[in-house]
Amino acid sequence: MLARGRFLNSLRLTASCSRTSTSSSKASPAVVVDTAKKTTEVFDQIAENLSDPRQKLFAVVYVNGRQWKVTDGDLISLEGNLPLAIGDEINLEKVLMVGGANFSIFGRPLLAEKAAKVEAVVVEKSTKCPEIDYTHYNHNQTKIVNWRSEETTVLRIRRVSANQEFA
Amino acid sequence: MPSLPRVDRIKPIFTSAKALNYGWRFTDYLKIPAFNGVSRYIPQVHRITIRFCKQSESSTGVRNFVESHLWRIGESNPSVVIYTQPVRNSIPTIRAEYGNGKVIQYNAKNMSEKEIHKDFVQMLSRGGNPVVKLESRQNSITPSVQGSWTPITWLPTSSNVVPLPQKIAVVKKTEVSATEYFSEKT
Amino acid sequence: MCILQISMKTSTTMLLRRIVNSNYNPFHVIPKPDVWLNRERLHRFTAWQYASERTTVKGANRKLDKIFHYLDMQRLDEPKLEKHYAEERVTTALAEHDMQYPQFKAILARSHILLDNIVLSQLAIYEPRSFRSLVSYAKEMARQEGKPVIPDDPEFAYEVHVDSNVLETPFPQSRVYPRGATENHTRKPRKLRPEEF
Repeated sequence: MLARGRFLNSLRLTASCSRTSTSSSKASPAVVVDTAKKTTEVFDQIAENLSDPRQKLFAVVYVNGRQWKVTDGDLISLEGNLPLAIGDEINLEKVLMVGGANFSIFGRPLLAEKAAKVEAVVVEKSTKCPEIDYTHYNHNQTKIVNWRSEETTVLRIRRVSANQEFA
Repeated sequence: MPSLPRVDRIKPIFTSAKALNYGWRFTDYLKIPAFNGVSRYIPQVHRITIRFCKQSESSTGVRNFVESHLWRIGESNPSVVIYTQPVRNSIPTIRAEYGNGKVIQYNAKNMSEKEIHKDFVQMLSRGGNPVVKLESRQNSITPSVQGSWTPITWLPTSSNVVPLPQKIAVVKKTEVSATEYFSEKT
Repeated sequence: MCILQISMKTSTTMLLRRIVNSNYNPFHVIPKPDVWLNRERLHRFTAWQYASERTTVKGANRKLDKIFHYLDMQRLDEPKLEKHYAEERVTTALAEHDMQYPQFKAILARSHILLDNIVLSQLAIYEPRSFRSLVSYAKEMARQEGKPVIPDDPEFAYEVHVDSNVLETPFPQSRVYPRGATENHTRKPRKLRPEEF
């Protein structure tokens, strides 16, 4: 995909480009493509999409060892008692991908720092439903019943936004 | 030591799960009362009532907690109203009332000060929803931005105008079959 | 004739069940906890069972052991199942777009796109156009590599322009599972020498 030099290691794909068939495995006549022009075209279209104030974006974010696909108003349950107080507002920085209704930007592997912003609030810190860790060996007196209720932290994703400049 | 056979347990668990009856287990999606956090975060605990006895031994933990930690916790959580009720000849309890009307009550009889402190802090940080097994760790108001997949999302409209009895859906292959090869040649 | 008076200290009638030469003091009884609590705890899991597994304690205990075993197995299988289903879903979604899973994953790995199977399956379900564009990109890269690909339907095809230096060596994986059985599983490994300890 069109990659803008050294700065952004991301893949930009837009659906609103002209729909021409991709060349099949059979040989097709070579076409000279002005990559710079195509780049600006794609960026302009993405910027146009982003300038719409009613747009809703989704992002794929890496939090607590797991990837989550999030949008505005999402709830996420993270394992563990994280060093966050309830009501804390945080930015999720490891963004792998950002997309909207008509475009998607994939990071290789992560997007640039300012390319996308995912704001979240810590909404609840409680415990999971108790789960059992059961050990019983047959024909043996060993029976260990260990009920575990791990602590969880719940985040509400406030807003997913992308920056026009860096897109 | 006898060898452990490596068995894939993904299949057998279905048959065993069918045979068992888990009527006692509640499952629900991840929920937060009143869309908390979407526009503004609002603390969910409204009132905490600590009921204890001034004399009995079972209330010593609660008494120590009230003496040493309660003031500081109350100051740092100004939105919560904390009541302490000394009641003779009663077991100590801690009751928390949440914004969605749910009430959690702890029996603090014979609990140590440390345990009560831990539970108290947990009461303050949780919402009013009951603890249930989560179907999924994520929940979304609008899961799809581009529109969810349907069986007709990627269905080519040319299949509508195919004159029958021609095949509508053809399995595509990369390998060229012998028939195709010879038909192309000619 | 002398009369011997034997004074015997007799206890008053206390209606105690006296066991002669017993270790247990009849006045200080060792308190035994009520069995009701245990039964309630058992019933919490087995009240939903059928017949003797619900009505008798012996049957209920046997069922409880099974319930605990299966709960433990389910707890351990949950993350594995999630990954298993995610992979199945991605494979199926790719099949709709006439693409193979190993090829697709290899190209994504070489492009340094680290999206998980779970997230890819979610994209395929909820953001079909993003998924399709990713598949189109993968097809283009496969075509450039010289691999046979089935072209997209002209109605939905995306125009793909790619730089030539996009594919690199993939990142090293955290866990590598080598394929196949070990070399000599019938021959036991030799004992360690003291130097190797």
